[in-house]
This record gives sequence, structure tokens and C-alpha cells, in this order.
Amino acid sequence: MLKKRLIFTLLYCEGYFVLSRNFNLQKIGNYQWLIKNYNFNDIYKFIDELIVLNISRDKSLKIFNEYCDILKNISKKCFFPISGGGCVESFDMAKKIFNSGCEKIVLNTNFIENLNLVKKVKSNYGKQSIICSIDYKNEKKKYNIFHFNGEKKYHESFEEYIKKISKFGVGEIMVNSIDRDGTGNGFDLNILNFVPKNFQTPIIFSGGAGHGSHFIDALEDSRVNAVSTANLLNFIGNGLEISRKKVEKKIKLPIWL
Amino acid sequence: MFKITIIDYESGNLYSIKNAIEFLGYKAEITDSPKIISKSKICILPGVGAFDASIKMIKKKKIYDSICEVVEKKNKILGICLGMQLLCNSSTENKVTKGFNFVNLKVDKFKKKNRFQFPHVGFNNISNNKNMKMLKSLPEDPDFYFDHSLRISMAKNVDLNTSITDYSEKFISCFEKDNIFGTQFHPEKSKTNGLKLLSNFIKC
Repeated sequence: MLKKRLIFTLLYCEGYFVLSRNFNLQKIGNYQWLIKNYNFNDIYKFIDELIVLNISRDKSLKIFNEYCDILKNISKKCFFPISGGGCVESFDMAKKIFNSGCEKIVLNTNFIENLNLVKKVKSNYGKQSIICSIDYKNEKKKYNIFHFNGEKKYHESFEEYIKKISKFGVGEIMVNSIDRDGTGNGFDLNILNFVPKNFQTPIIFSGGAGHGSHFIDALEDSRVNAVSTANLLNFIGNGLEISRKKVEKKIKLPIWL
Repeated sequence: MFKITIIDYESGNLYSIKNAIEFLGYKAEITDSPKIISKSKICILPGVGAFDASIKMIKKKKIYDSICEVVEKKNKILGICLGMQLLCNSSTENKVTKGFNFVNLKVDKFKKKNRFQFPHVGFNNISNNKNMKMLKSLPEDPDFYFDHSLRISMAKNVDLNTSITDYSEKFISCFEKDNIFGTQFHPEKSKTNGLKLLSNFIKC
């Protein structure tokens, strides 16, 4: 039986890991600091997958290379799936992310602004290697899609867009609620009303998890394959361990030796 | 100390495999040199991407014959994910393409069923087969990380040891035949279970 997954998302911005709340960023610390103060190597034990997103506003090669070095460092100790992405502007950048220890790439804005790049990644690495990330906001009871770090509004509705992406063919779709992002108030389960029943592409739920029971709420839906949190503060110490144990009582997660 | 050869045909995530092998305390070399590959005692054929394009690239890099040589010399080879599929007879991905045909198995698309999502992505269990050296001292139904859209169909009267996974239908998730090994899943991405499998493969 296919197990569901707990994913941790690290947000990297110009040398630091950051917390995001409704897409406003707050610096936490650099990589060494994270390892030391958050006992990050321990967190690996309680998650099934890691996403490391580069959300730097500075698009220089220097920042991108630093980001890739961090991916390389993480993948030396982490033997589970790692996805990278954010600010991917060329095929060479995508290639470098894959060559830094990631087997999947998270693409968002490119689906709207540079579909040819997505197609090139797809033909070289296969559709299973692509996670399409969709950021959305609830505006006057309508779900609108935003790209460019949540700054630009896209004209298609969430419903149309998600169907289009699934038809195009990707490995997974990560839906992220900008309204819930970093709040810890729980996932926006209402969005599932806009996802067709029997939806064929695995969904990763993101934005708003504050504790274990929030994970359960989303994972109980058959369309949701995985849940993600980027909330360092809510899950420090043994927060993730406690949450995982709670989830395991209701949902089948992978078991390790 | 001997090195484990990771065959580079510009496909996918070679570094994770290298990292996992080094973590186990062995040396690993990523290479596309026909000479090094043909001489290596232990080889890993990774793979992410499309079957037809990969065979093409392997031929372009002139390492097709070197890989055959490894098998003929009875040296060990492990195909991972698409790498495993390449060791088979043929695949219907994009168009029907011949593989190495080291094992007489066929790769085909899942017969889609409504309740299931594709690709098959995430951790799923395999049935342990006590005759398989790779799976020694792993649990009855260990979890491994899968990420694929095509699978090796079940086969009758084939002379090899297999483990089975069930996702919308039963398929071959891992096989072993003398010096030829294959895993549909990614051991290098399957935490402790995967490291154990890699260590079994290297030691056996």
C-alpha cells in the first residue's frame, strides 16, 4: 500500500533560512546555525521528504551557487527524496539543481511565463521529476492564482489551472494557500472543493499546518498524497516527532528499520 | 580499496547514489569512460528520464558494449529505476525500444485504474523474497521510495528472483539474477531500508 508522506520545506533567501507568513519573510539563521540550533539532523528522522526552495529576491549567480552548495551539503546526509527549486530561469539552472542531489524540481512561475523551459525539463528528466507549485489566495470567495513569489495574479481560475497542469502531465502538484502560509491555523481544506474527484495527479498540501492534527485533516482525503510544513518554529525540538506519532495513529506513513 | 562505478549517461541524480555509497564507507566514481566501466567489478546504472532517449545516449557515449562486458564477465550490476528497466528486453515508453535484454522482462505503462494517481510516487512496500541477496535482513514488507510511470509487468516462467509491489496492479519492483540486480524504487532515497539494500548488494 502506498504510504502518505510528511514533507518539510526549507525556505532559503540570500544566505539565510527564513520563516514566511503570508509570504512576508523573517530571517532565522544560516545553514550552520540551523544544524546547530534546530538540531536539524534529528528532524530528518521524522520526515519522509525535504523540499528546499530558493526564494531569494537577488537573482545573481552567486546566490544561486550558494543555494546549490547547501543542497549538496544536505544530500550528503539525507537519504530520502529532496526537491529543489525557486528562481529557476534556465535549463542549466535546473540541471544544476538535479546535479546537487535533488531528484525533483519545484516549478511555479515557469508554468505561466516560460512553459518551454518546463517542457525541456520534462523531456530530459521525465514528468515524475516535476512538482508544479501553485500559490493561491481566496479573494471574495474566488480562488485566484498568484505567481512571482505571490506578486502577480494569473487570469485563470484555480479549477481551470489545476486541470490544465494535470493534463500537461507533472509528477505532483503542490497547492499552497497564501492566506494560511505560516499562520499555523491549519490547512485550507476548502480548496479541495475545486479539485475534481478522482484527480489523477498526486497533491501535496501546503500552507498553514501548526500541529499534527492539521496533517491528519488533509491526509484523510484520498487526493492528498503528502503534506508539507515550512514552519520551523512550530515544529522545533520534538515537535515533529510528536506530530508524526499522532499522524501515525490515523494514517499509514512509511516505517523505517 | 575497489571503487564502485556509477555510470554517467547524463541521466538524473547521480550524486545521491554516490553520497549513499560513500556514507556506507565505500569509494564511488561517477564516470562515462567505456574503459573504466568495462573493467569495474561493481557497477550501478542509475536512470531518470525516458527509456528511448537513454538507450540513445548510452550508445552515443559508446558505453553500451562496456555495460555488456560487465555482465559477460560476471561482474555485478545494479540498475536503479529507469536503470533497472534498461536491463530488460524492451519498453513501450514513447515508442517500443529494445533494452539490454539481460533479463527477459518487458516494461509497459500501468493499466490505469480510476482510484489511483500516476505517477506512482512515494513510499510503498515490496514483498521480501528470502532468496534475494539484496533483501537480506530487511523486514517482510519493507518500504521503499518509488517515482515512476511505467512498470515491469509480471512474468511467468522467467528464471529470476523477484519481489512484488501492488499499486493498481501487481508489478515487479526488484529482481535478481546471478550478477544482475534491479530495483524499480530508489534505494538511495529510501532511508535506512535503502542503505541496507545497497550495502547487501555491495557485499554479496
